[in-house]
Parts: sequence; C-alpha cells; structure tokens
Amino acid sequence: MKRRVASAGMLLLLMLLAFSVGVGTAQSPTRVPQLVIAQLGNPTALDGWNWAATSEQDILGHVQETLLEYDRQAKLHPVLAERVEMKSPAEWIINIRQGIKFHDPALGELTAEDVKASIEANLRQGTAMSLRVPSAMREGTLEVLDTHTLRWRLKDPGLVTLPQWLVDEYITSRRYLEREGFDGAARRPVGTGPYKFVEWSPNQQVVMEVFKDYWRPPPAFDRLVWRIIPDPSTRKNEFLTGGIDVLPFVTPEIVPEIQASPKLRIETVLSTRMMFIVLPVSNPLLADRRVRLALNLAVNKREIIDQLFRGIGAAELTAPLPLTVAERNPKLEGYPYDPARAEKLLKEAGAVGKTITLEAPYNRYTLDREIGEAIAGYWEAVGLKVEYKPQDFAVFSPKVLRGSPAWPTNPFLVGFGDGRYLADYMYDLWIVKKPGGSRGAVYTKGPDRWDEWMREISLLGLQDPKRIELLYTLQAEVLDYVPWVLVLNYQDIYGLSSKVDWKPFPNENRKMYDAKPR
Amino acid sequence: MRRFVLQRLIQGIIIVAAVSLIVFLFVQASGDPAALLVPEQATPEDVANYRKALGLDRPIYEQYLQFMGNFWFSDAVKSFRFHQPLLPLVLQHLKFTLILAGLTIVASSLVAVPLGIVAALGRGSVLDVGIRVVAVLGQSMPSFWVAMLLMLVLAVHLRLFPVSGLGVKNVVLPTITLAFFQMAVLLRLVRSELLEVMSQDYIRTARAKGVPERWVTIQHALKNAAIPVITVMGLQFGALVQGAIVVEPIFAWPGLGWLLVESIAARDFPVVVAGAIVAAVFVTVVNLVVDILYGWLDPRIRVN
Repeated sequence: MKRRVASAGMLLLLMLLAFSVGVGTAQSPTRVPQLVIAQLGNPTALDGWNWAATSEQDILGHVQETLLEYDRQAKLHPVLAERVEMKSPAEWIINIRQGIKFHDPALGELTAEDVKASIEANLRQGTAMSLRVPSAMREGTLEVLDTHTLRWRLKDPGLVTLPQWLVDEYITSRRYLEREGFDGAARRPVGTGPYKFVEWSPNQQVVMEVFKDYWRPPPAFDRLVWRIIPDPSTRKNEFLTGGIDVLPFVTPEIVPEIQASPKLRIETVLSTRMMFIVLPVSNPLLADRRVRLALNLAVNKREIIDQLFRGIGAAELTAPLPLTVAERNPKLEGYPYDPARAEKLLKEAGAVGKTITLEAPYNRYTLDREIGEAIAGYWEAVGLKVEYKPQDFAVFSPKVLRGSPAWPTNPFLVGFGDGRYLADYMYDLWIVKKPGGSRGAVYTKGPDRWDEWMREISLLGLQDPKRIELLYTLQAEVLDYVPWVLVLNYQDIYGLSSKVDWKPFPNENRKMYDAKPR
Repeated sequence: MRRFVLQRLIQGIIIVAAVSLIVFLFVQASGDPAALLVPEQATPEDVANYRKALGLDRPIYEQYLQFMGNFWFSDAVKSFRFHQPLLPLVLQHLKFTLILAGLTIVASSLVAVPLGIVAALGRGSVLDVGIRVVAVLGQSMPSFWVAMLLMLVLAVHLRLFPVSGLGVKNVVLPTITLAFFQMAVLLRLVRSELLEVMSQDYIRTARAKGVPERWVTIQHALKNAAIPVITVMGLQFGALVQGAIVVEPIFAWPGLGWLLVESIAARDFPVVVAGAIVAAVFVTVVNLVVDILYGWLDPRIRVN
C-alpha cells in the first residue's frame, strides 16, 4: 500500500514537473539579460531635433518611435501612424495608431497632440533637424483634426516624398516636453519605443531596459547597453574578448580574425553609401570631358575591391547612384577599366604629364585614405602627375560640402548615402544649381534642363512612370557628362557574438528591436 | 608664506587668462565650426543663420569677453555639440583624468624611487644597466604603442584585465601605460640626483660619524635628492593631461583628454577653450603645491 502511495506520489510529482516545464517553455520565450552594442562616439543629443548622426539616431530610435519606418528590404511600414494619406503634395492627413502607451504612465496614451508637439519641436528654427528637411516641411503647419488625426499643410509646392522623410521624425509626449523643457527632454528621452531610457553616462554608455507595455511583441533582450568606444582597434579587442556583442563598421582586414573564432561571426549587407570622386569643372584640366572620362577609365575598381576590401567590403559602382536605390537605371553599366583608352584620351586632351591634386578625407569612411591612395596610383599610371592630399574630415568636410573657407577646384573623394533610398535626393545635393551657391552650381555646372527635371520629379509620385522615366534619363545624361569618378558602393560588415541573431539594415541603422537570442 | 601663496595665485590667474586667450584665438583660426556642425543638407543661408545663432558673427574680442564671463559666472555658453553648460561638462570628465593621473603618479613613484635608489647604489652593476635599459625603453616607446601592446597581451591574450571602459580593473592598463613613461623619467632623475648627493661632503661626514649606510641613504641623501624629483613630478602631472589625450580614447576612459580630442575634431570651440582653462588651473595649482612642498623639504627655500 505504502509503495503504491509512494509510486502515485512520485508519478504526480513527475507530472507536475513535466507540466511546469511544459508551461515554462510554451509561455515564456527565451529571454536574455543584456545585449551590448559598440557605439563609435558619444551621442551629441538624444532627442528628435538635434541628433547628429545615424549612430545617435539608432540609440534614440529604441526609446522613441517614428510614424513610419523602413524594413530591411527598403519598404516603408507604418509604426505610430496607421495611415499617411496624400490629399495633394501640399496637404497630408496622418492617422495615428490608438492605444499606444508612453513609458511614463503619467503621460497617458499617444495622441495627435503629441505628434504635433514633437514634429514642431523637431522642426523649430535653429535645430539640426530643421536644417535637414526640405523647406516644404519646415514651413508647413500642423493641425489636430481629432485625438488621432492630423492635417499637415506643407509649403507650396508641397512634397510627394513626405512619408520617406517621416522616418526621421521621432515622437515624444507633449506633456513631457512641457514638463521638462527641450533641454530636459533631450537628456532623458521618453517615448513609446520598445526600450525605456535608463541612463546616459557621457563617453561611457547609454543604457535602456525593455518596456513591458510595448504595443508590439516585446524584444528578447531585457537591456540594451550602447558602449561608447572611439578607437577601432579597442572596439575590435572588446568584441574578441566578449565585451560587446554587436560590432558595427568592421573593416575588411579584421574579418579573418573574427571568422577564426567559433563564438563570433560576421553579417554583411549592401549599404546605401557610395564613394565617388567629384571632378569640379571649374578646374581648367577637368573642364575637358575627355580628361574626366579618362580619370574614370583609369581606375581598376575590381582590384580595389579585391585587394583593399578583400572582396567582401564593397561592390563596383555602375551608375551615378548607390546600388540600393530602386530608381537606379538598370541599363547603365558605369565606366569600364580601360587604361589604354584613358591614356589615349589624356594625350588627345594634352593632359599627359600635367599635375593634378587629389584630396580625400581620412578616418571618416571605411578605408577612405587607402582608396584615395590607390586611385592616385591609377592616375599616375596613365600619365598624370598626382599630388595626393588626405586630410582630417573636420578640415575636409566644411571645405568640400559648404565651400568654407573656399570651394575646392581639386578633385576630391567623398561618400554619400541616403537612408531614404531616394534617387532625387542625391541629385538635389550634388547636381541642382541653387542660388547662393550649391554643389551642383560650383562643381558640376550641368545643363539647365537637369534643374527643370528635378523640379518636375519632386512633384511626381514615387510610382508615377513619368518620374521613373525622367530619373532614368537624368542618370544616363549624368553618366555621359562624367561629373564624377564612380568608385564603389560599400557593403557594411557587422560582427556578431554567438549570443545574438540579427540581420543588418542597408541604411546603416542598427535597430536591435527584433534581435533574437541564438 | 601667505604673501608667497598670494603672489603665486596672481601669477596663476595671469597664466590662465593668457592660456584661455591663446587657445581661443587658435581655435578661431582653425576654421568655421558652423560649416562643420550643420547637417549635410543645409544651405549657405542656413549656415549663416547657424553661425549667427552661435554668436560667431560678432567681433572676436567681444566673443572672448562674453565667453569668459559666461564660463565662470553662468550657464549661458554651451557646448556647440552637446548643448550642455561647459563647466559641469568639463568637470565631469576632469574627475576621471584626475583619478588616472593620481594613480599614475603613485604607481610610477612606487616603482621609480626604489629602482632609482638600487641603480644609484649599485652604479655600474648588471642591475644598474638593466634598470637603465628599462628606463630608456619607457622614455622611447610611444604611449599609444605601449597601450596597444598591453591591451593585446594582458587583456586579449591573457584576459587579466578588461580591454576598456570605466572601473577598478579597467583603470589598470591606462595607468600602466601612462606610468611607464613617468616611471622612466623619475627613475633616471632619482638615480642621477642620488649619485650627485652621495658625493657631497655632508654624506662623507655622516659616514665618518658612523651613521649606518641605510640611514645615510634615506635620511641624508634621499631627502636632498627629492627636491628636483618633486619639481619634475609636478611638471609631469601637467604632462599627464597631455598623455591622457592619447591614452584615454584608446582605453575608452571618459576623461578630459578624450573630451578634448573629440571637441577639437568637431570644432566645438567652447569645450576646447573650457578644457584648456580647467587644465591650466589644474597645472597651476599643482605647481603651487610643489612650491609649498619645497619649503617643507628645504627650510632654506622657505626663508628666501
């Protein structure tokens, strides 16, 4: 009898144990206490109006959300907005999702008033964000129609790509802004995102913890720690010793070291950033199209990719646009490597033996100085005398991007990327001639019809066949005009520890919300 | 003594004012920060407006005077990049540099003084030669290289210390890096000073009186050899701020050196000038302390 009772008791115990294990596995997905991500520099701000780089946007984007966001395939998805509807390019209706809670329960749920206050704070005069967006947005007016609907009247002629620009507008609480002021809200951001802000120790780390009332399924990692490590070799060593789990912007030369460790691996993605050399036509030598074409034909892009980037860190640039832009003209094949023809063209132009100065930044883009060195070598090989001048980005950038203290007339290597995947953005910055001095007016001096096309394109919907046709024609003409040396398109490399399963985004964003334990 | 301290304080104020003015003029000459700070999409008009908003369109003397007034007495001047008041920002980073500098001085002294004595007492011996080789290595190897080497060996391969960051174990590698150079300088100085003092008449007299050799070394020789050593230690304390500029970013140590490096790169003028002022104040105070220590070590200096 006793034995039977004991057996029955044991059976019950085993059943209870099995049940509890079963319940445990069925109801609580694997949770991991912490994920550590390397951060290149101290954020300048954690707010929607003054963030200065994608890396800062990444941190903020886990605490505050935007109305729309891109996925890894460059498709737009609604986040805080349920719908964004264009009545006309100058009038938009935004429907806000209901039932979304802020991290601080005292701030209640998200309403149209919060969205209006956030966008107005982001775009108020003097903020970095206000300088980043088109004037149609900056000078528009927002109107609350009901608790979850907004009307945005943009300055004429409006903007057909408003949804694409909304991916950078971070939303916080109106009441929080009123309570804390802009400075307070910038130091301790509050939002509706998957993580709550915990602390920001300058030049050390930013810590955030999971928000349990998040409206989407909660992320798998309880805490995110963004460790600020400026030195690339220190970041690499931290990664090799387990101090960080996600290492962005891995340089190709350390890939074998990472691959040698069974606990580490790399993930790659074709980036939205391209590298090219601007050939200012105000330089007498570069005013001749034959010379500009020769400078392209002289560059062995395949060799740069294979030798410098070990075949994995970059791809050849075949059109005057990043390879990730869907509106890129697929028929364009760029400029082939043809040093003999380059030499012939230089002879015809009487440029052989002439001196040319190539300027390039260093420590800004992956292997930027080395790319410049290689190109200087290729140009020398076809008969030019090349002076190579790499310089710190703090000196280089104001000069080439803003003409401060003066616009350069030397060719220079530069990177460009657009997280919105828009073709017209590149040309607006580098081709369009604007009054008061723009890069298009100073460096390229293209035909006036390009400016007219760009005005037309800016008012055509993204799916409009006329827009695609104009963009394809523009790209073909730009390629033929040869304003730049097309070099390469980056392929971003990320190092990941065995703890995490995550795929990178093309636009350099590090959204860790959907990272999973491995 | 009070007069001496007051005199030194007035000198210090003049030095700090001169440093602030020189640094202010240099950073102004380095280029337009507005052009670097605005986003890529900004138009020339935007840049001009931004420059105006930062107050960079006014005459330099006016900018300088307003900066100095606001730096000490209000929060009105903020970092261009971090949009924070300057003094708290700089002091927040300075405390970590002071911790690093203090530990470096202690560590380098603890190694350099005994080794210097051993080398001086065993002049010409194998031990002396070995110690001098170490000293030469310490002085000739660049800090960034020593830092990388220590990181690779002690952190990556042996896993004895963390690679970088803030913490008790984390401070060891940056301290060793900075102390290696400091130790070399101090070691050579202790050795040479001690050798000189040991040949003085009063040392011979002490020995003739039958004072034990250890007592002669510690009480008579070392105390007199310490004056130039302390002078150099004071100067080296200032040099440590320079060393921090190299070492702190490598070890992700959030001190003033790192803040200055990133602020110079970003043309964050207010932070650069504020950092230079605070560093100048710090060095001035250390030198004052050194001068006071002289008097304690050698009453003749106090009298004069």
